[in-house]
Amino acid sequence: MHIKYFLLGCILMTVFTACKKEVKGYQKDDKDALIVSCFLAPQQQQITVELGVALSTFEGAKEIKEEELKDAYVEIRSDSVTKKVLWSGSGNVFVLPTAQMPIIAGKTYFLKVELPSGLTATASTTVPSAPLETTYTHQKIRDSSSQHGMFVAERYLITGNLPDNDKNALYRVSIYAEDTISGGERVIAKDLYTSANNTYFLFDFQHFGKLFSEGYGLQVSNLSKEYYLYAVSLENSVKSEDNPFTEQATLYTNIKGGIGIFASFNYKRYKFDFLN
Amino acid sequence: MNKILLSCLFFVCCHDVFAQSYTVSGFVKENESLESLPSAVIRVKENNTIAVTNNYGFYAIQLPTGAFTLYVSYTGMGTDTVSVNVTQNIRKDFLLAPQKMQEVVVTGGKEKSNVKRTQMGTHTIKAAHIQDVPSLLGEKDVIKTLQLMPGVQRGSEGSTGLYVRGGNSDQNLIILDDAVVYNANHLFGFFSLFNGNAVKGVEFIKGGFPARYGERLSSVINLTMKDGNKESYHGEVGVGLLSSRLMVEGPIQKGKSSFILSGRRTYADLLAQPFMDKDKKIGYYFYDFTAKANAEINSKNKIYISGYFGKDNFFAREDEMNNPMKYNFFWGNATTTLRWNHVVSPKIFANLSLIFSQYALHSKMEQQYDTSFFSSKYYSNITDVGVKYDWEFYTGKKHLFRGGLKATSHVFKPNVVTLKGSDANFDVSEIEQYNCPEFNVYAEDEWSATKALAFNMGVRGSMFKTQTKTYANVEPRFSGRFLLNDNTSVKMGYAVMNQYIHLLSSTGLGLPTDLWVPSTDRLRPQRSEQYSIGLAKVLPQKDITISIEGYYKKMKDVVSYKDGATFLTARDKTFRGEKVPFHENVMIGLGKSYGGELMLEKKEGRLSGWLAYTLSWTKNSFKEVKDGAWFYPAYDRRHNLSVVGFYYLKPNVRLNALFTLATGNPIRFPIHSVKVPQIPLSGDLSNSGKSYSYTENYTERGLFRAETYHRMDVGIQFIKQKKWGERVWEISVYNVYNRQNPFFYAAQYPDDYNFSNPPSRGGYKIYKYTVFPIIPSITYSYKF
Repeated sequence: MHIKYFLLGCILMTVFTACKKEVKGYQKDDKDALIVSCFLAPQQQQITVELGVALSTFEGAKEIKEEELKDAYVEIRSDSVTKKVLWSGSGNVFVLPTAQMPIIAGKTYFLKVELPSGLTATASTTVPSAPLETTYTHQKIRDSSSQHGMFVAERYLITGNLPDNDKNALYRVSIYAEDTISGGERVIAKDLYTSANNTYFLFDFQHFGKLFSEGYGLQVSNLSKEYYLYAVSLENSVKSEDNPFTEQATLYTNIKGGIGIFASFNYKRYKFDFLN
Repeated sequence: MNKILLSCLFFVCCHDVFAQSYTVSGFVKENESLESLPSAVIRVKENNTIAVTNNYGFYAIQLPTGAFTLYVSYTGMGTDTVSVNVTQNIRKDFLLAPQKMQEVVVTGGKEKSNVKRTQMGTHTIKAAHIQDVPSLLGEKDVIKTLQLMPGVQRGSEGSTGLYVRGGNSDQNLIILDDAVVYNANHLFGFFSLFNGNAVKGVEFIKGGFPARYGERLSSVINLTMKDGNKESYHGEVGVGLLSSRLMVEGPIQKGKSSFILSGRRTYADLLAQPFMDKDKKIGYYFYDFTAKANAEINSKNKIYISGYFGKDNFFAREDEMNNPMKYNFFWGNATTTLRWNHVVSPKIFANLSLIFSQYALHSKMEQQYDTSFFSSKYYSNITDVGVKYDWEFYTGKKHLFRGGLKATSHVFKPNVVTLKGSDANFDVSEIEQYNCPEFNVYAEDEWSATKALAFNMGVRGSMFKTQTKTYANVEPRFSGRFLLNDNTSVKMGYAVMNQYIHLLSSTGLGLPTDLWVPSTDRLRPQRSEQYSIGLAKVLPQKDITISIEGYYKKMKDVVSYKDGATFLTARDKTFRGEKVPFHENVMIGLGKSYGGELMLEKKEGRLSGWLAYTLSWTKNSFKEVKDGAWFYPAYDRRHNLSVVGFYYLKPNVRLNALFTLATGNPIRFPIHSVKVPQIPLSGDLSNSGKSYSYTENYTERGLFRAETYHRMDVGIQFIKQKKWGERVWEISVYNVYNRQNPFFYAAQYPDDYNFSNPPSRGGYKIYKYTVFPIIPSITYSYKF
């Protein structure tokens, strides 16, 4: 009888005394971080730099105030030319027309951001050349009416091969829809990030015709190395969130004094005539 | 270069073959059960020659004509002394009696094989020690005993993870009677497959590998199952908090053949059944079962058949509103070995093994809802079928030549997925399969050049065919020993190892979801080169052996999941419209490890045990992580100390204790909440409608370490001879001073976090999760 209670006690101790306890000391050097995002391409009308604050996950960390971002000093330099990038008046975005600082393939650009508090972040990137021609084919798979017959979705397969002239080339391949409201483009199939070792691509996507967009197309971007590393790490980082079975991804950064990215790319677009 | 090495080996062997001598050979066995005794030491008094029995208890010594005295010893057994008059080849078997505590005396200078053998980095652990080490919930565990050896780092708290000299957990070759065991864990890594009940002994090698071993980079764990008592029927029953076990053994034909059966099963699921809802059942159990039989056909031929079968099963059943759902998640190993020992001549011993080994993981889910149904099956396995032939040629007084070959057919199915539904369009079946033959051949010479100087030289060739590639490698091995005096020796070793199969683990916990995968066209074999140097010493009056070793190991093409990849994404079929092979989710890099190890061991006497200390550094480098900068992986620990002691209070009362202390392992925390714009196609960030990605940024690898790990376990065994056998009550306490060692750390919001009015930033706190506080347990066993 006593043994029975002893056994029961042992089991209960095992189950209920497993515990969770707060520990201190690991976060003592923690502080907010300045986020810098900027992507340069020769096709752009303007250079845009966006600032942000990566908030410390712990209380009591040294803070960066969101309000001071718009007062930041931002400059871009290439060769001996330095231009100040001005606050756009909206959000924390800074703008410089490329008429004042043309983006040219092969050139290296240097970015500097300085906050009123004195915090400084710097980075550089060299603009890659435009990709050579990409060949692709399309194949219509099927039409499918929506449940209420309001619109028809068409499903297509796009396959092709990226140029393989440069063995070190890194690519982003995207299917886009022109956004009639904002004037920009929306990505409508999962982007492919790849290198010149894997030049074959295949997209399986569906579109809803002109009801949603004026046009659809393929964009092939030749990426700087930092663009590629950042994009892949961002994808992994978001994917691994809340998944206990993954190694936590580290967000790549080339910003000294902060986190984020200053990168460049060069692209070609192929509008899908068969959808018009 | 390789041809020169082989020519040298051939020369030194042939040189000795023609020397005039006779052979004294035979087996060393336990006298009561006729169980063969591997690693028993036979010493010739007149010329101080030493021979050690092989895994089957066989020995052979070359002696010139004359009268000699042979001493035979084996830890925990009595000694035997025999005079032989050598005028021809002699077959001489030895029978040793097990020592009882009352008979144990300190036998100074008896055990010197550690000083005299050339092999470095080797520990031989007897089954009795495994049974005596206090353990979690009283479950005796071979792998956890190995964690207490120098050079071995454990995984997380309570787990059976084994990281040897900077190697990953997949770099350990675990062999049970010649069959490779792929997943040595039960209960998500908290218990190992081997409970020690049917295990005769363990040979653990971590450096200076002889050429007969290969296939993994970091260690060989060679487990030998008991043969079974050839004289009379015996058994053992054990009842613990977690499981019960039973072992029976006995003769099939007295003195000639025997069997042994051993099994263990947990019963938490059975005890919980009565308390569960009739419509809902959930449970978990594991079992393992070993069986072995052997028969001595004649004095020269013996056959063995042995097998291991183990399974873990997690299940859930639900039948609410007549919508039944069944879920099963089970995994397990099965091995079978058929062996034929053949004493070809007094000088030649041969063994032929036919081997089958399989590890499989299944996940099955079936659900019905009214008239529709859905079923999913995920299956992953590795199956080996192989043949192995080894022979030992005792060519002369100075040489023991070994050779052998092994051919294995590996079939890997890392991902087999079947999805079915009542919707006619929903029927998916995907199989990823790799057939990979592997061949190994080796030649090895143990050469006693002079009384003081001895070498073990060898070479191993390996070949692995995968996809369109065939990898072939040559692995030179060398170890040398120089006797400074009768009680002290210095040693050095060099070994190149290759590994053609890899374990992809995203957690390092030894979960069944870790995938075994082959080298492929893109994923090259892992390779290591290890240099070691050491000193071995015996303090004869105190019966203590001391071993100090230093090592440097470099590894290349070690593998790891890429950031963000898991076994779940490894079967993503949508990547460019093709099935994603697992190697797309893998990164390949470099590793290096160096350090020093100290082992003090006292094997016999009223007080016995060992002290093991390791000082080591382990670093990895992957191009995808910080652009190739070296970092400390999760299993790097700077200091590691283990002290294990066994003490007889009385002849029938034994105290057992262990203390272990280790530097905390590297850990990472999320330090920033990051909101960054998704990269627009044009790169223009001024669009007000742009989307953002939200994630957390983690600290760099190796920046923080967990708290120092330490723990003490104690146990007391009350042994009593009863009418029909021996009864043992064991009361043990795991983590006796209730140290709250970390199982893992997590950055989380506190329970009282105000989500409706959050602070301006952060709010996370770091929590340490502890799983095993002080845990007393009691076990009862009866040997009859």
